[in-house]
Amino acid sequence: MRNSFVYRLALLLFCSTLKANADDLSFSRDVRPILSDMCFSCHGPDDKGRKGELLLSDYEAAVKGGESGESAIVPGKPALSEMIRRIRSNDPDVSMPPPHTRKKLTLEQIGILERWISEGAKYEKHWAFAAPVKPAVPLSDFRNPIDAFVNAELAKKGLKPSAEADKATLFRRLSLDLVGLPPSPEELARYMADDSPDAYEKAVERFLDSSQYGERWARKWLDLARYADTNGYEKDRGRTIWPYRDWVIRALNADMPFDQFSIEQIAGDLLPGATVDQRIATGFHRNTMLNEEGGIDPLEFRFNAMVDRMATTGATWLGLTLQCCQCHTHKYDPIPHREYYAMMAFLNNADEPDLELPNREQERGAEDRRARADQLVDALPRKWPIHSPTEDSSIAWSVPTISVSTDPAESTRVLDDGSLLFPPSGPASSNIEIKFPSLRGKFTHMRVEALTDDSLPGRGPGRTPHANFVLSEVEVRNNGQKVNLSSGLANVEQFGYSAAAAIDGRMETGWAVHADGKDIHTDKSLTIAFDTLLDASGDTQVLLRQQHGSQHTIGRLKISFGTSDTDPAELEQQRRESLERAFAGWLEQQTSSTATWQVVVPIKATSNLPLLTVQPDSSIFVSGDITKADTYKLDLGKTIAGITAIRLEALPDPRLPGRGPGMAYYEGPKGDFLMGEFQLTADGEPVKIASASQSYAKNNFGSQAEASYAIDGDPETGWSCAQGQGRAHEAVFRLEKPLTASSLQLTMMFGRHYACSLGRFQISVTKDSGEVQASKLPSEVQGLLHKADRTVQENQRLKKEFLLHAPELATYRAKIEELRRPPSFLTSLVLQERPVENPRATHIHHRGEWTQPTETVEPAVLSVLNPMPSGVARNRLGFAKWLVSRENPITSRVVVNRAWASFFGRGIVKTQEDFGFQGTPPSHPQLLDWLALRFMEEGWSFKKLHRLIVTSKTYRQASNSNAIGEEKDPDNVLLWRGPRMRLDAEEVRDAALRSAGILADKMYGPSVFPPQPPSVTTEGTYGAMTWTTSSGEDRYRRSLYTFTKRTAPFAFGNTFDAPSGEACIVRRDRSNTPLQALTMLNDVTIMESAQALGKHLAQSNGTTEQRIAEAFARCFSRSPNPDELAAVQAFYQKQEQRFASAPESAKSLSGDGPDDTMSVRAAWTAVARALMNLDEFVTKR
Amino acid sequence: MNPIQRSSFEVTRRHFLRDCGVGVGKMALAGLLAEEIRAQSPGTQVDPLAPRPPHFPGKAKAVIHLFMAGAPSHLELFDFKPALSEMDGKPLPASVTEGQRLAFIRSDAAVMGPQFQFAKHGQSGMEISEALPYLSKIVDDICLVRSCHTDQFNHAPAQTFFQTGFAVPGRPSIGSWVTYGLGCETKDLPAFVVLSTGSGISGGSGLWSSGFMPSVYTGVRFRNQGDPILNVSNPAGVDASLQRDTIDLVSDLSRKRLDATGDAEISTRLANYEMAFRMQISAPELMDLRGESKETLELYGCDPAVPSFARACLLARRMVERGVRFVNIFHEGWDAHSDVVGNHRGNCKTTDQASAALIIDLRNRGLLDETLVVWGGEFGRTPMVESNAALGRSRGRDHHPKAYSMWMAGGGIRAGWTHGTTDELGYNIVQDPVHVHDIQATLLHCLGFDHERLTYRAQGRDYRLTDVHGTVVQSILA
Repeated sequence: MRNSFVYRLALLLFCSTLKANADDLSFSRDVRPILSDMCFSCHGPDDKGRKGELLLSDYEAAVKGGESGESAIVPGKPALSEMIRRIRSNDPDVSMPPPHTRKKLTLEQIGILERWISEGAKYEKHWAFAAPVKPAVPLSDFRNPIDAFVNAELAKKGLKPSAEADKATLFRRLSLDLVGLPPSPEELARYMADDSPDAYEKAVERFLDSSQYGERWARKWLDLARYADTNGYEKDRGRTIWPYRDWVIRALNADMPFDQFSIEQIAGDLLPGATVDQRIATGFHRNTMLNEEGGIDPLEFRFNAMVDRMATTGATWLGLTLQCCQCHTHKYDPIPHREYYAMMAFLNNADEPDLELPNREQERGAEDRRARADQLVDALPRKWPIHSPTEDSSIAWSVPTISVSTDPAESTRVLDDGSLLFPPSGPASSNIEIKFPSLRGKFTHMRVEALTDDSLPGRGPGRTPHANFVLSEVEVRNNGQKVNLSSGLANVEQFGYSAAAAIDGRMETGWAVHADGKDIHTDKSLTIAFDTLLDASGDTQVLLRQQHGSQHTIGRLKISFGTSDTDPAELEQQRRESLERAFAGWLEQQTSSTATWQVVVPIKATSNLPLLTVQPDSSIFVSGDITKADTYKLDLGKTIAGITAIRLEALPDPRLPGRGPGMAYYEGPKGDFLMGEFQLTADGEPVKIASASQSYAKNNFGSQAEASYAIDGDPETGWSCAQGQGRAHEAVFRLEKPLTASSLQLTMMFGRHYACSLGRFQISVTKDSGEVQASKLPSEVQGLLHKADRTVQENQRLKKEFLLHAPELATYRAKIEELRRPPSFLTSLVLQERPVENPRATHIHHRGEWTQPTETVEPAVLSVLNPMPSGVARNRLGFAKWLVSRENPITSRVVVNRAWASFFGRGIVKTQEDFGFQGTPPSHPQLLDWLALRFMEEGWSFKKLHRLIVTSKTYRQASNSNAIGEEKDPDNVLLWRGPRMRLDAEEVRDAALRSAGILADKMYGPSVFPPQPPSVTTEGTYGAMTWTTSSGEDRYRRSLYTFTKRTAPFAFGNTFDAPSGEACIVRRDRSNTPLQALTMLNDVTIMESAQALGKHLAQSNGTTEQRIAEAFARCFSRSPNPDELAAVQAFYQKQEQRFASAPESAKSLSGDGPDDTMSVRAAWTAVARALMNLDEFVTKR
Repeated sequence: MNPIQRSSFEVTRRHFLRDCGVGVGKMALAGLLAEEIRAQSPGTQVDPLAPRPPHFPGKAKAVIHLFMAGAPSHLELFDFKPALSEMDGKPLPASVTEGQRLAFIRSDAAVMGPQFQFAKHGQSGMEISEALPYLSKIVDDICLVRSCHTDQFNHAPAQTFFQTGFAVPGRPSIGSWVTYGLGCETKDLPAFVVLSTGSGISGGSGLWSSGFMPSVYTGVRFRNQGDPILNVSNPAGVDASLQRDTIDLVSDLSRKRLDATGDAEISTRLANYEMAFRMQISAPELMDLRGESKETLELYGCDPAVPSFARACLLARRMVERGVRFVNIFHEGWDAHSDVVGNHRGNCKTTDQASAALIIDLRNRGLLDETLVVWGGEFGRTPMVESNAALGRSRGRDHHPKAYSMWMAGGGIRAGWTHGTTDELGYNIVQDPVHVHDIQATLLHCLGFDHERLTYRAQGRDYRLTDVHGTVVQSILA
């Protein structure tokens, strides 16, 4: 029974789609699909798998026959044709297709083949590969040619078009189609009130001009672009490529011509004077997934991304299943294996950087901060401490009486010596405000003493168990004005917690006293100098902030004010002298400990794969692909005699990921590197390295990362500078004994469980003796140390460096470094063509295996399509131009067909992704060609195409069924009625928000996190992602802006067939499932929408009927009929009564609002929820 | 299933209306619209999930796949290699490791001997690790395959490869193929259910995706926290009677629209509201383990209140009893790059008792014969030790795709049988290799499918779970 059903169905399908009739037999429409499906997998274009040396996809070859010697086809004589004989044979050794394929031709199919042979067996070029020829528009009264074409086909079938849909229904359809949203009540009212004859056309223009148009059509394009906000695969970490998404919205709103739209996305970087936007556009092909799993071969997954780019390009522009040719020549379409890789070669010559997007505001901010840092540097000499103030006998101290308030409140006691004692157990953090009502006089200094006391834990002075404290910040106010504090000096400072940190304006730093080798249980004091003389007149106030937590607060303290009788000028003199003394000492110390380095320019620099290029400044820049085990070999030639050490500088560069110095771009931090081994050979003999030192070392995974690990013989351990990206670092390798070589070779090995080679570096040598060590000073400063005749500027440079390194000024340095930190610009993933000196070769891969590359191929386009346009370069840009060339027979058809399908639910070619032999032939071939040519003639304008479609009578038909149509054309292929289909996932959610009146109209920007159950991203996904729900308007943005995580897609979208972004999707499924019912009934966004609409209805003035009518208008853009009105009214009344007696339920359901209207709100919420659950709500009709 | 049959789904919903007449009366909540529709015309495939017979009568009617994600070490659990102990600390000969792509270690890494004792068990004398005391007691019920191998050596691609036959996401998963082939037997639960325990799964939702097939064949997640099925609970303030009234109103208004428009999709949607309502009852009922005896809970080692692998196994049995076709339990956590002993002790403690209990429980209930249970990971682990100071790793094992072990039981599988042999290093297979595509072919065979004929047309060609590969492993069939 089942089989007979299948047979019946097969006949039905066969008859309805092929439409073979006695009048005309078309090779393309009727014959080739049979040959393709039944024969070509063995007798088609792929010569590798070809059986019996027989080719049936070509007339000459088919007539000639295969190895049996028989003519497969004898034109005009089916009975003599071997093909027919075998198809009809029951002998399993002879019959075709062979029994093991389990394919069998139907009698109808055999009949078609026989008729075709008897009529001469004419082959035709496949319709999609032949250039469209502008067909004559069938004669008719229709103004819009679409209608003429469609009605001509309907008439052939004896079908009539349906009447125009009613005004409101059509308006809702138009709104959903052009802007992806149901009309707002205001839009609907405005339209319904407009009786002018061109009301519809005006509405079309309004929608086309709306910024929401771009949002709606961008979502469709993003399906093709496989857009997502994460990298995919196991780690599936976040990425920033939403600027590309915004580019698409803007381009569509601007009606950018599709040819330009395509060129910018495929090759925007190669356009002359490419703008930032044009480079952002190349994000299209950066939407490929990135595998960050530790054990992978990054180049293998780069290849997989290339395969994805080919499939996506094929589906998006060419309507071809190119992916079939990764492993072998296409089984059906005339696309050889080689041509697939030749075409890949166009796309395969790009690097994949993160493009920093310039931002004027950020740049100005950075300039301001740099200027402030420079000012601070210039001011550093004045901050130089003169002497230890505790020993300064010149200050006369006095202890004024005080009044104290603390936050949190604590009981305090003033002791006889004027000090203030706190309880032994203090708060975690504290702010103390001290006033000095009796303080009068002029003061230069203030002193804060932290004193021991037997009542304190461990006798103090701090109140932690080990008696420490952190004084985060001291502030002084005089007559309400903040007093500038010029220096802070203490008798004891803990490492990293200097006295100056208590007056640096930063709460996260402070003064602490747990110093190595010193008894903590002694009195401590901090002396602070005022910038200008403090003139006290009874309104002086000191604020002590202690914010370190964990009871790091002082247990007993005393505040004194003092005046130094030293002459300020004399003080300044002292300061200068002290500074000069320290500088001289530093210079001497640095000069003796820093070696004299001589930069070496390698004669030759090679590697296993990346390209090493010597830069004008003698550094080496690395470009191209890196692997998990890269080896750099540098021929340093004949170097100076008596080398004692070699220095490797790892240098930052804006061209590198994370600005370098490393090249890590996945799994590890961007710009990370790990040098596993550093080996020297002199005249063929290994050179022994005695020791290694470095300016900085840090490991991103694990702890050991010092340079000494690069000489331990184990390539898995090495030197790494994690968290030091964007800065220069150096390692110095000291030789066991001085070396003189006529040929010095350096080998550096890089890599760990991810690729992390060094991206820019410089090599120097020294012959200095002694313990040559790596220096923290910049190398140009190191050079100056040994320069004989330094200029004034050079000396100033050295002094600045000294000031920045002096421990006495450490807190200022932290501030300066913070100010100098470059801004972190927004980035977007882009393509960037590789430099001419380092092209990436593209190979044919045997069976499509990454591990089996064979010969290299040069870029070339598919031979079955148009040739490259003249005058274009054989690169990605030329390829892009070829794709959208007027001569390309297929692209325009593919694009208009996709647009058609968006409106009608089905393409003129049903298989939108496959225009090849296996695709379904077009239902309206002439219309398709006419539209394709018109689209190009009108400048590839989407808006013009969309306008043309929506103003056709075909589009404007009612979508209701009728018996004749259902019988003759149940799938509405011929368009006897208007389109009717379920909304896309995003449109369903957006419709709920719009109907409720809570849809936010904010456009662009980072993706947002609307509510969904936390388990979606935490359970079962690697590295569980916390879905931090957005608040405010971001909770209710259009679904286009929802964050898309590939391995755990947004649940609402997933339930309604939104793609995961893992592959290019041309046609979405439109499923109808119980999970969708559960979502519409219970999902939080639908509930919040129902509550918002319920609240609105509850508050509106009107009868119950009027409110129901408004709900219908908002949800369905129409009025209820009397039956519906009665049903909803009955439901409302029943629920209202129920909620009146069930306040708990009413409260939960009604959401925000006053209690006395709770049951009304709850009942209207229930109404809204029910309406949103109707099929009509999720359907375009 | 051939493409013609497949395309029958596409003509479904709109056609059925013509065939069964316009006008579906108002139905009560308990009404069984879906069945009514199914009963209308035996030849009309209204529902893509309608039950369908396979190519030939299969022994198994359901599959429970215990996916040990992260990849357990065959050398510690199933495949005893004393020779490794003798070589402990020395590198393998270069001839063995030549050409092997390794994820984290270098090919000259030293060998590490098996870390657990092994003993022979049962009448079959199957040799099993001491780390699996519960499994050891039921060896005569299972078939151990020691010669599995795969193409991929990293987690996400290898898991995706095992589940979909292809290393890159985008193709249908095994559960989707089975659901596509057999349809759905249960009226109030999904046909294909996915549970996860342990840490997060590397492969993500692509592992139970329907790929290019209609999304009705996608696995439905049962979650450990919150609603077992998303949104299966009513929102606060909505009680059963409001839900009933709501669905009644929806039915009523929908019927009016159906009459007005003739859109059969409306009927399908209504049927789905019926099923959704039933799921709201059946899902909590399924999750409610109060009806399980103390003995059963103890057998599994299951605390009903705590989500665990044991609870997932017990739920899987309950699902199979209720007609669920395919249950995937992903237990992630076997990725022992460091401390293989500690890792595997822990994971065995979590999974061994319940895995064995599932077999015993199914057997006791007479369900084992028609339920195929599969236990295993995406690849094996290297005989060489993984230790890496820079990564803080020691005494672990790296990924090994060339040989690993799995076991199967029930529905058509030969019990008490050990299949395949690896070399004395556990590195290469020396006898009866079983590729992932072979496992897939065999699994489909147990369900009554010829894996070469179960095809789906997408992108112009007929796809199979096994691509152009795969052979049914006859000798492991009962």
